[in-house]
Amino acid sequence: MKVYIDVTVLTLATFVTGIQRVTREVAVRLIQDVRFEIVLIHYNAKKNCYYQIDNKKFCEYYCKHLGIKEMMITRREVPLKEIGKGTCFFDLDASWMSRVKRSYLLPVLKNQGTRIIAHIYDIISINYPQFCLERGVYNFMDYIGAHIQYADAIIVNAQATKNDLKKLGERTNVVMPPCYVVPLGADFGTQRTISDAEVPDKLFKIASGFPYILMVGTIEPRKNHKLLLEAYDKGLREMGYNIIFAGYMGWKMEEFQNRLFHHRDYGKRIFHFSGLDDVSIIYLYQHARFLAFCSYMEGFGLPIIEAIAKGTPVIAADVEVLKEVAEGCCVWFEQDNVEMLCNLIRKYEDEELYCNLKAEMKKLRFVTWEESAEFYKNILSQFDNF
Amino acid sequence: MEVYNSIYDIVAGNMEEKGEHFGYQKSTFLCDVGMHPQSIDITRFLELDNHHFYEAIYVVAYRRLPEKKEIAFWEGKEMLPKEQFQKEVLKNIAGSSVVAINQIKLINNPYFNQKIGLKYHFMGILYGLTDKSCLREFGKKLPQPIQKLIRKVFL
Repeated sequence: MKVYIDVTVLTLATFVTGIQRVTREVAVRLIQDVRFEIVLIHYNAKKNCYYQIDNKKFCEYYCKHLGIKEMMITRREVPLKEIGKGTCFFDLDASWMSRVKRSYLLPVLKNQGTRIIAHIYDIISINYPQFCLERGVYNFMDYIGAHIQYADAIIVNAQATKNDLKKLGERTNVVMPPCYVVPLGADFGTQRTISDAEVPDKLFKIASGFPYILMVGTIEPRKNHKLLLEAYDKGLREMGYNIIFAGYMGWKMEEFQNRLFHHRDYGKRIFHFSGLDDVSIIYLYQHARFLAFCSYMEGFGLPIIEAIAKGTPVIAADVEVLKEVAEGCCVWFEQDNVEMLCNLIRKYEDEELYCNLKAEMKKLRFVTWEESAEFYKNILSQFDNF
Repeated sequence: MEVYNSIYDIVAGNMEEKGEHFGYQKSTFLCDVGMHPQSIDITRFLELDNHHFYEAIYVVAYRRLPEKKEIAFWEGKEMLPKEQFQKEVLKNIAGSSVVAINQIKLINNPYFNQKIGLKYHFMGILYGLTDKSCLREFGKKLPQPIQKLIRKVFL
């Protein structure tokens, strides 16, 4: 089965987190399965053409950090007419950021008889646009509008997103294509314990100092980083906890940024790291007292299951999708309730209670990327021989 | 188009509920839907009034809303007759580096034929520069004063 995947956004990105990580993990596993002929494509805006990516170099670069990214892109042009009947177009990446609008591309492919499978991570841009970058919302409106009309199947990662899509279909009078829920893998990066020598000195010193509460993910409004900062001022500081924010400084965060960088303890007990590699992130997970997840909403909440898989307890806001993904695995607090957040962390200062929590977590088992990829493969296989 | 229309209303409504305003006009979004990445079909925009016209063209060509200075500039010209205003906006867009570098074509343009490459006279001889995209990219890397000088002489 021949499957085309547009990975333009991944290949242009300077980091591999969130959706880029999902794209990498799934694409690599599809390539390695002989049942599929995977054609990764990259759009060159100047030439207005897709170029094929060398699968071997792609895997080497994203799995073993070998080679140069630009060298993955071959000179073989992939004209749209090539993606025709009998093939499948799997829109896995964050393609609403691509120059090729899906409202242009998908009707062309559909007319050629291509099967279109969309991966919708969430529709936060539609339901909560106030948290998003306006330009991103604008692009996403086009993307989602095209996919709900032209996709033959949609893959989501949570039932909550499926429900949101159903509601969107009702409001836009679109008969939605079949929608499949596929859980994401929790086992990112290496499964071994990261030694102190493998991370930068600064990170080692911070991680081995006061116990710390960690937040991982792009710093953007919907992730509610300000709540943890508030919790620090209202109790965590006194309890002797540090705070570490690991993630890129995103959009609409000027106020938070100002507050963070001018905090009296910034650089002493409150830290921000951007652009950390997988090894450093895993190291931070392994040494954190808690991963805090204060989001107002999420598509899946990948860091939660990643942290638990690494043995780090998670304290999370009781958001529908997070409860769906990690019910029974987290300590939950009411959204935006800073007192409750502090009280729960205080409660788990009791070492016996904390050890019991960690022991409970060890019994949990999440889907691995291998297993997650099998779900993707099964769905794609259904569209073979159409 | 109805689906996109509804999606726009949902987003704009959600923004309004939170006391915010969605910066993109509906007409811009609907004109942009289905647009080829390198071709802008001008006929889609001709019916728009001057205010909506320049915003829509900016978004489609530059992939961003006009900036404050640009808004002030075009608002100062909104009183012009529609055809004159549209021609000025399109001339401005057609001469921009973004359009040249990305090789964006303005198709079905009723006002003028888009120049591809540069032609200029120097000491009585006609010179032609065809690979405008490469030159523009190179030019963008030069220091600002040199860029200004080049613009003055060639563009």
